[in-house]
Amino acid sequence: MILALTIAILVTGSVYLIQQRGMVRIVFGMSLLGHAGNLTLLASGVGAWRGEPFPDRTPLDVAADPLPQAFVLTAIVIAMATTTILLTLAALGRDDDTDVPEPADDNIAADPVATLGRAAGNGGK
Amino acid sequence: MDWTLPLFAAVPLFTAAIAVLLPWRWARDVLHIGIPVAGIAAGVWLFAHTAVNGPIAHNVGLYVGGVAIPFAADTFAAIMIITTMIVAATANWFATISGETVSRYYASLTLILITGVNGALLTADLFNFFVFIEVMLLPSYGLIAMSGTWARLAGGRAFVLVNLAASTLLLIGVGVLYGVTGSVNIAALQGVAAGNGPAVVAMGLVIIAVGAKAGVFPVHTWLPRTYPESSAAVMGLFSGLHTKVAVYMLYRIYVNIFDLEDRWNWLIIAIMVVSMLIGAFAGLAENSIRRVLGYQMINGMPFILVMLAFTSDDPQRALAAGLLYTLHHMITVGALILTSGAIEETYATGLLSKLSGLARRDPLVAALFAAGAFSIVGFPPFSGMWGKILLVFEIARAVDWWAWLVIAVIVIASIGALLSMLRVWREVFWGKPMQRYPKELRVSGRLIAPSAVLMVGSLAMFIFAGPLIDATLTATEGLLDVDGYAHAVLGEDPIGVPDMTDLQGGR
Amino acid sequence: MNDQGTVRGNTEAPAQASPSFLTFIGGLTLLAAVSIAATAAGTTNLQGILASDFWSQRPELTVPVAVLVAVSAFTKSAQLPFHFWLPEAMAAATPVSAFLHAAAVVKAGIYLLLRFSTVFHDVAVWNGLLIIAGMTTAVISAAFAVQKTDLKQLTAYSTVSHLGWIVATIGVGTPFALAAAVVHTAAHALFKSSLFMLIGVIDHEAGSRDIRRLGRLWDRMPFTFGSVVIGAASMAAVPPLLGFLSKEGMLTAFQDAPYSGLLLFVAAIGAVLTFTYSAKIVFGAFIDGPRDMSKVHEAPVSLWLPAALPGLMSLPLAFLVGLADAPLEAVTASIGAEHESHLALWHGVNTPLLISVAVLIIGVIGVVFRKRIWPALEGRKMFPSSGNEILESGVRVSTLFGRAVGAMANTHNPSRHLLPLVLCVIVLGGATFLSPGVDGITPAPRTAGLDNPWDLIPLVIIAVSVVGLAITNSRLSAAVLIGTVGVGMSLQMMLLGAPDVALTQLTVEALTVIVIMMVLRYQPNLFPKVKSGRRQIGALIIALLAGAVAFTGVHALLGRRERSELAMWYLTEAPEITGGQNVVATILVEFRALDTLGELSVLGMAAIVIAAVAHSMPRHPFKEGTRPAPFGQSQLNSIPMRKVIVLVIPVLAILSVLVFMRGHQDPGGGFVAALIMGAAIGLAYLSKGQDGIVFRESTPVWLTGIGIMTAVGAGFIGLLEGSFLYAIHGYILGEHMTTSLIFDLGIYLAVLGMLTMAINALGGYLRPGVDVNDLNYARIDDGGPLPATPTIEPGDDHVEAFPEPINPADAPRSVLVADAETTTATDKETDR
Repeated sequence: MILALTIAILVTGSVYLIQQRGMVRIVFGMSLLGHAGNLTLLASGVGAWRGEPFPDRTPLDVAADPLPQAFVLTAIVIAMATTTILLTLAALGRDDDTDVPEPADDNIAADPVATLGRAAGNGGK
Repeated sequence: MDWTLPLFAAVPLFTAAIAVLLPWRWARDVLHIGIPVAGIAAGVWLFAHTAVNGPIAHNVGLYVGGVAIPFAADTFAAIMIITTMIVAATANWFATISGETVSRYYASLTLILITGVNGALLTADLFNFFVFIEVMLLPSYGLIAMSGTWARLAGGRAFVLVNLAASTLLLIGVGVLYGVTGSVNIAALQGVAAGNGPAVVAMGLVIIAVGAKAGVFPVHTWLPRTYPESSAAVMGLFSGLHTKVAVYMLYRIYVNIFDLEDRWNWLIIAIMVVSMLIGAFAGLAENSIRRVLGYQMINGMPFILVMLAFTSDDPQRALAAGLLYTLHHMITVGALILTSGAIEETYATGLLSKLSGLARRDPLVAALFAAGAFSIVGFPPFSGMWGKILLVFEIARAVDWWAWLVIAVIVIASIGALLSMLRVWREVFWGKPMQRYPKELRVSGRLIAPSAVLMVGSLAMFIFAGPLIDATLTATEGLLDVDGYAHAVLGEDPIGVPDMTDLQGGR
Repeated sequence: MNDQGTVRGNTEAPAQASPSFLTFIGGLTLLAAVSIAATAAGTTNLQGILASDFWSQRPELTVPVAVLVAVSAFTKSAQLPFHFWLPEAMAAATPVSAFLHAAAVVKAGIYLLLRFSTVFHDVAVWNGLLIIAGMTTAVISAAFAVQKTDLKQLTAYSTVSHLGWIVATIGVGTPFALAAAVVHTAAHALFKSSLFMLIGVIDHEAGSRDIRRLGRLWDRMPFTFGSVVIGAASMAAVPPLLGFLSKEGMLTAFQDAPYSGLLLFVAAIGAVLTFTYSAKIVFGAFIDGPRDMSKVHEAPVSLWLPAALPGLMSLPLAFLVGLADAPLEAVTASIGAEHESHLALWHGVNTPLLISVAVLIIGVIGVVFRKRIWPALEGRKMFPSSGNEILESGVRVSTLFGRAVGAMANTHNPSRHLLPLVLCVIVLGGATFLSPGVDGITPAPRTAGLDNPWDLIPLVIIAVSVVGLAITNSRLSAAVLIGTVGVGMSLQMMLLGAPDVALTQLTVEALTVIVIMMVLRYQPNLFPKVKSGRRQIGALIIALLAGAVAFTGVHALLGRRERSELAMWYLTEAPEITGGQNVVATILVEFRALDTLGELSVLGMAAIVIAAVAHSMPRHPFKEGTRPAPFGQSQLNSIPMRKVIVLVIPVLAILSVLVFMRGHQDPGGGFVAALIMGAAIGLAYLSKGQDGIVFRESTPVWLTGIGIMTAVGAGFIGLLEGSFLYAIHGYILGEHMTTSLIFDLGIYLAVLGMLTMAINALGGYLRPGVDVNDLNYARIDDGGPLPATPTIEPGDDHVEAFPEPINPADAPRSVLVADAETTTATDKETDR
């Protein structure tokens, strides 16, 4: 139950943060969601058994389920990669404000970020 | 021969690593077009092999069934591999021509994407599916933001966040499923979500996550605002890969884990009906070609997924109709997107208000766009006609008022799709010629070639509809052979097959 | 100016689109009808469907299918309200293709109706629908035709009118009626094709097909005139022509219809109008008209003869019509109507004959007074809006609907795209909560010993941090709090018996903080404010609901079983198979090595992605308040750190190798080892005197590439033993080694690649990105067809990228107080 409460707090925080303004804050929210997911995975291994899964030093009747731990390791590392990418996206551009107004009608070629028209006039070099 | 299955994922991965190190652009181009072409050949071999031998599976690392990660292939997976590789090869070819590969990272990113696609299509383990979805997503995060329109950064941010949330939800779903049943192996989980019980709730999370990736109402909203902000080569690549892998897994999950349960028919039909209407008509309010096409992508998904609700009578034919529509949709939407890309790369804009009169300047482009529009709406002589006809036939088989409703909505949605495409035709191809560009500026033949190849493919799908329909029937026969699948994957004496006697009701 | 692209009022375009559009609708309705009929009948063979039992057994299907088929035929044969595509299509096209429209395309609809008459001929809805639609079309189009001055448009509308007659006759449903319909179809084909082509001849010779621009032509083009007279007379049902015969047949058929009196009356009106417009063709083209036609000469024989031939056949065929009896009986028999045919010109004095005579008389009177009647009718609008206008308003309504349903997606704000996902999960949770038990199953009792009071410590740490994160507006505080959440998570993982995971979490957290700080240093102090209070309250409510769903989900679904069979298998069998006691690590690198392979490719690709995106974005200037002035004597400031790392980095490196090697038996493994090494690299970067890259520009890419190739290579080695990623065990120098160690090495390198790339891309002196002129897609202004890529204009709130350093070496601040006062004023300018 305590674990469920922890997960619930993480999910609440995460959902609140991802509705805020500013990429960095949303990234923190996703980070919390990742934590919640990891704890859920560990909880699925039934937290009544908490011995470290080393058969040579932990008796079998208290050893924890090793499979969710492997899952969580994979998930943590993938989340690290994704968080780094998200932070890069937050650092690029004008700023990290996510409440972007959509321009009414825009001349696409007049933006330094637009890459269209690369192949124009040269037969697609 | 089942040891070759992991190579479908391993070889593109290896070549991706090579591609990122190669300094020569021509070598990278050869790799990122050549690997998908080789994938087509491998997929054809796989189809032939599994059509004769039934589902094959390989436990990676040769551990006992249920413990090892299984790669399993039947004709359904093989046909999806073939078509995804066709789209990937053509989109990468277009990327080479349109100059995307001047970036030294493009080739390796697309090759990793292909790795992920092959892995996701062949794996029979839900956590491994999550990992391969991540393998697909990560290069996509790069591809979607590295080229495109003025909004590619905003689109990239939204894409990354939504897909990250969806895959985290998938992870949670798989975790809860493990917590309820004690296994994540699809073959071992056969039938656990049929009836009612906690496994259904866990699978509900998984379905929401995979549905978000497929672009189903109400979690479709990200698609028309992220894909069109990227470049056309990338959108063409994604259109044939991401959503279709999600559709594949939804089919696989529904056949294996849900055992074609009737209980959810009303929900599937309700969601798909709304999705059809949104996809058909929302494109009328969009202001660039590829945004309209983004909604055409959303329009196509419900046609494919609604067949899951009509499997009570003859599931093989119903799912085969859905599969045929999937194949048609991949080819046609890919062709339309690449046509739009050819226009955008030549005139530096895809806005409807800025383009006009292209039918006279570029008659081949106009013809290809018209052909693509015909196909996606369902006119002959292109693949869309058979796709729509078979869908309506199979839905009509269940003669109750659900079927009437769905057929009526299909008719209305087709009208809406036609209106959308007519609008694009009118705005872009009719009208006065544009004054801003010099008369010599035309869409070059090389740029339009990939799209032409795909439309020829669509035409071929129409002409050779007989063998194609036979192939889809073989594919769904393989899909529905759950016992053969389970036997191949689990082998003798598997570990961890869940006992659902206390956890399941209504069976 | 469109924001979302309103439909431009392009009036001719819908007309050009309407043929395909309307016939497409017809195609769809036909598809629906045929598929229902085919699946109900169990065959797609047309005869099989028509002969099937289900029409009588399932009458609830018959009526809808009948309606669908009728609608489909109406669109093809241009019945009201789908009629308006035909005149537009005909008027625009060349004579021959117009003829095709007249004779070929529209007959498809007629064929459809005749074919399905087999089963529908006595269905009341079918009868009513066809008769009403057909006669309405006949009368109204005839009225339209009388109004027109363009001969081709007139003929086009007359085609629609005649189709209406045929459709109404089919609708009567008796065998006689079906035969009459077939006869009129034949007669119509003859005279209409002829008239179309002859009008083309007139157009070719006289230069116009508009009545107002023609004149007295009958003596200049006598043969054409004669042929047109015969054709028009047949159309007007003047005896003794074939048209008269077929019209008589139709009127006779109408006598068997319900409400025959009313029907015959309406038919009579239609016949009068038919006569009128037929006369209009003759008089308008050849007799009346203002222009002088003396220069016009007769068309060559090769032109008018083929055009006239079909129409001229109407005369002799009327007398030879008895020969058609047998074929006609065969035709009607094939559609299931047994009919004895007695085609003849004279059937005695009966009601149809009287009607025809009356029509002729009224028609002739109308022709005599034509100069007063016809101009009064021309150019008047009969309906409030034309078909094209209705179509356009339909398109407008569709666009409004489209905009409404597209509104939920119309944003680039990612929070709004995340919301539906959250709401779906909340709905799922709510639905489960409302069902008894968990979706109908009472959950098993919770396993004993799930709640450990030690868990309260991480709970408190995490709860406080999360609340802090929600409240705080400062970026720095948020970064710190994320770190504390990570620490709490690590502690919780230790308590749950997952030491490897806890180690990984801790080191990942440390490195993530480094990346966060690299990003935060060039951003404002505070987060952007959400101004709407309602939005915040809404966010809070949804967050609380989501948390509640998470709590109930975890509580109800998890922790209610024993350890799984898989878990026990791993704990008992894994050490024997792999030789390693660290079960989790062996799962990662041996049993589920494919997962790890995917994971390391994700890591490696993260490096590539960061490089790809950062090198394709133009560098934006610094906003006000985000460009801290650098320390002028940073080399001095970094001395302590640089001295420390001389000791620490070797220790970390050795630790990294140790952890790498012991991963199989004790907590450790490739990931943790790589992260420790990553920490060392991070320290090296932090200790530098200035922001610069670590190693070289291309090092991360090489690390990633070599790492992935190593790992996949280890997998390929396993192929020698029969499976990709099969772990081969052996002893080297007395140490137990497996190929999974090579695999681990690949992981190691990929992690390092990602970290170094992150530092290189984000850790520079300027913001990440590339100068606009160095972008590989930027166009320069070389006179090419497209304008050059614009540079980023510095705005009002942008500050320069290279501010004056604080406390520079050439003007150092004094440590003593007295001197500090004199430099306070200058400090305020150089501080941020």
